[in-house]
Amino acid sequence: MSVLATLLTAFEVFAIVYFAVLSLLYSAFAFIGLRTVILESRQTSDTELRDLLEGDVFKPVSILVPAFNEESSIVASVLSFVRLHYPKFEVIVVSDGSTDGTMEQLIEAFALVEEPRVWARAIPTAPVIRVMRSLRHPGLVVVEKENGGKSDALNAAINIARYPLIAPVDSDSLLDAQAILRASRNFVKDDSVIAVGGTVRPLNGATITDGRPTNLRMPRTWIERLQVIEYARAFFLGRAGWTRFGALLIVSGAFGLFRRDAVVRVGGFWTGTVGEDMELVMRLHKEHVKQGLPHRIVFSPDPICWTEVPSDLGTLRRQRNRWHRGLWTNLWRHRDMLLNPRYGRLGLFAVPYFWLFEGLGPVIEVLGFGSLVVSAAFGVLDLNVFWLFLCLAVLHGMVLSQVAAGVEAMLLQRYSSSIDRLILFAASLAEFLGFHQILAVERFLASFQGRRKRGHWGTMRRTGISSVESPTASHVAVPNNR
Amino acid sequence: MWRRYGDVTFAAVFAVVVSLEAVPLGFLTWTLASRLVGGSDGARLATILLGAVGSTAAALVLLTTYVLTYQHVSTRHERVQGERRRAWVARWLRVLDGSDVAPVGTLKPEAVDALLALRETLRGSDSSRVAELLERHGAVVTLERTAGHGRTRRRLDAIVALSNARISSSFPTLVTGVADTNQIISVASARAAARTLARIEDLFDRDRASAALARAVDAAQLPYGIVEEVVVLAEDAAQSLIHALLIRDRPRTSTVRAAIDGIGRLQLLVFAEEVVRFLSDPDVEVRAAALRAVGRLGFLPQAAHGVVIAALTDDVDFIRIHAAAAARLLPRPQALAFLNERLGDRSWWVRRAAADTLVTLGPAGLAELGRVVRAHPDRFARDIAEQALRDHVPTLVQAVVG
Repeated sequence: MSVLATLLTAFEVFAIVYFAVLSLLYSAFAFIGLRTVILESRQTSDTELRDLLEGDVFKPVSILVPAFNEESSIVASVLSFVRLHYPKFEVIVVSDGSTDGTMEQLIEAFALVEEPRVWARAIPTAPVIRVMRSLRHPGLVVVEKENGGKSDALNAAINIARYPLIAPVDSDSLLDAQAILRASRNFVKDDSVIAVGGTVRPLNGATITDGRPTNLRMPRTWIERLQVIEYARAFFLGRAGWTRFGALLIVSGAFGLFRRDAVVRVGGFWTGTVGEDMELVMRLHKEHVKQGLPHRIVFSPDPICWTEVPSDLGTLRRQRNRWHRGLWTNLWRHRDMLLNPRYGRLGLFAVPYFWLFEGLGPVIEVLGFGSLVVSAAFGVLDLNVFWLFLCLAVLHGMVLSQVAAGVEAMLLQRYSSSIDRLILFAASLAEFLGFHQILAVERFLASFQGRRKRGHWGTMRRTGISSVESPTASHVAVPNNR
Repeated sequence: MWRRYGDVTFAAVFAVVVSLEAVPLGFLTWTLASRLVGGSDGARLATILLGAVGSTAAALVLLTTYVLTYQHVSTRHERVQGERRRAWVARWLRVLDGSDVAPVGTLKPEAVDALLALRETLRGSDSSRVAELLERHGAVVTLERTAGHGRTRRRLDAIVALSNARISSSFPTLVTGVADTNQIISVASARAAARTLARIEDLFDRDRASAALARAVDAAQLPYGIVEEVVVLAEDAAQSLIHALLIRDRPRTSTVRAAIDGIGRLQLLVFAEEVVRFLSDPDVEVRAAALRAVGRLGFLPQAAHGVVIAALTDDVDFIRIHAAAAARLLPRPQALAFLNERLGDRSWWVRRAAADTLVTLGPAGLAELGRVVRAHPDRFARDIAEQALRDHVPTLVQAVVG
């Protein structure tokens, strides 16, 4: 019994110290992230952006849209892409063996016609069935190919892309009109930038006008509302902080901008993971360090991408399970970076952080709370201490969520009504009263399912951005799952 | 995109919040460590935990109060500011047409904002009068002072305002800013200086200012992309600025590249001979920039034909790509022959560039592409020629391909 008590006490001490270090790290990154937002918001005036747009100094961009069974949102998404404010760009949609009406929707909405096409096969992919171009939008190309997964679809799009910058985006997402413009500025500011990540915000509940969210309202379900807070925390605080530290490991798959030659040089997206976005970034870092090439991968809070987040718990759990499996696959694949001084801050700080706090975090969280419960049950731990610690953990989470809500309030396009603001406030408090714990358990389970569920995406139930009837339809409401 | 006020207060509130969290967490960790070696009892741990919970709760209340207050106050603030700014715009317009008198003394921020907006919108003499008003009321001096020193965010705000004001008297301040060790300030100053340079009309002053900006830009080692932006933002003064950048003793390679790209982008034919000189530059990036510029300018003297022809078989892919684009300026038979050869290049991108260039050569180029589609021994050459025809003249494809 005394051995068990000692073990439990030792583990509790470890868990609490772990929690303390993690909280302080989060706070430090949040603080650095806030500073990034403050400075980024002042660096380029709108008039300068307009002048530069007229001066045509921006590099052309290929927007890559992999789609698998996205009939409910594909037309609205593609519309938002073809209407971007950017001097020169093309949109390449890849239907990755869709079995629903994705292709039919695209053909009808954009007047697609088949045409023979040759392209550089820089990265091997599953066979392409046909390539179509739009009679309405000259810059729109649609590729139909055999199913090979998201990474394979992206690689096919990279092969067909003609421009030096590529922007992989999710097909259930919309881009802010200036998103590409603001993201591509980073390539101008620094020649060594090879990838830029933007901010992703939940779209659910918003009204869409001409492919853009105009009236931002809080979604109707708490599952969606809680994700509003989660996304704000992850993007405005976490990634901005990592960028300042020069060790960003993730550019969201929902929206990022990459130099095409850099991606092709490392062989494109790896098809062996369900976390292809992070894997590519890790590989880009790794290969550039190996070859001694100067490179920077940055996050910029300005370019905003809107995405439809899961509206039911089942889909959300599957998504988080997938993300966590992807994280472990990537960390394991690049385990030689761990504590490797060759990779500088990345190897000595970022990768260990991801192992210890992102990968193992849910394991330690679940086991830590489990041990607290066992300790309390066996009388090893004072019940008062148990409850106080629980309160402390929840309060810390709430503080970070409130910081994220505060940053969101500084955006010009924010949740503006008082009711929405109160709901956002309530969501930031409610997130740690069950929601976070459910997802922690899901991520805990995912930590042990990497082999069994390898490459498994799980069914993602979508309500869809809209059901527009034609590309000229203007006002569309994003349905909520009620 | 972002509200530019209240953020620093928020950061200060957050700093307090972090302190309220960190100190008790430090105590907690220490107590736990002591407990593990038997130096602390459960009661002490509970007390420290209670303290940590209390201070974190206080932090949460502080933060929440700030966020909710900010939301409420900013909504009202923006409405009031908007109304005031509209009123000031209306008043300044009346001042400009002589139906009202200008205010006396220091201007309020919204009055300055309204003037800056008018400076950007109006053209000609009205715009000049707005500039006079900004100077006369001391707004420019205040902005220059703020731009010169202090906290980064305040300096950036002032530099962006000066960039919008584009008043020549601010130019020295902005050029000084280019040399700042803080790269954010340096870049913002360079862009603001370029926009201001564009409004300097006296040619002598413009040349002097261009030389100063060129010196500052080169010394600050600004990235290629930023120098190119600076050249483009200089608008009508770009010619003078490019001249100043290129005549410098040993300018940096990235500066030269940016200047050459600026020449091509702005179609400054006056520099055509200068560009040709760079076609033989030892630096591969400079050579590529020169080939791009030659293509954009549409000027290639006979003496430089050999350089372009040699570039078509260069080892570096992107040199061959740009050379293929510039090859349209070779005498037609030569251009057709060399581009035909490049259709069989090992790089897809060179083949594509050669095919696209053939399209620009008009009927002769299209006929050449047609011949390639029908009879070229290399399948890749046939494919790319057909693709180029499809992309540019889809109506002809059927006739050519059959």
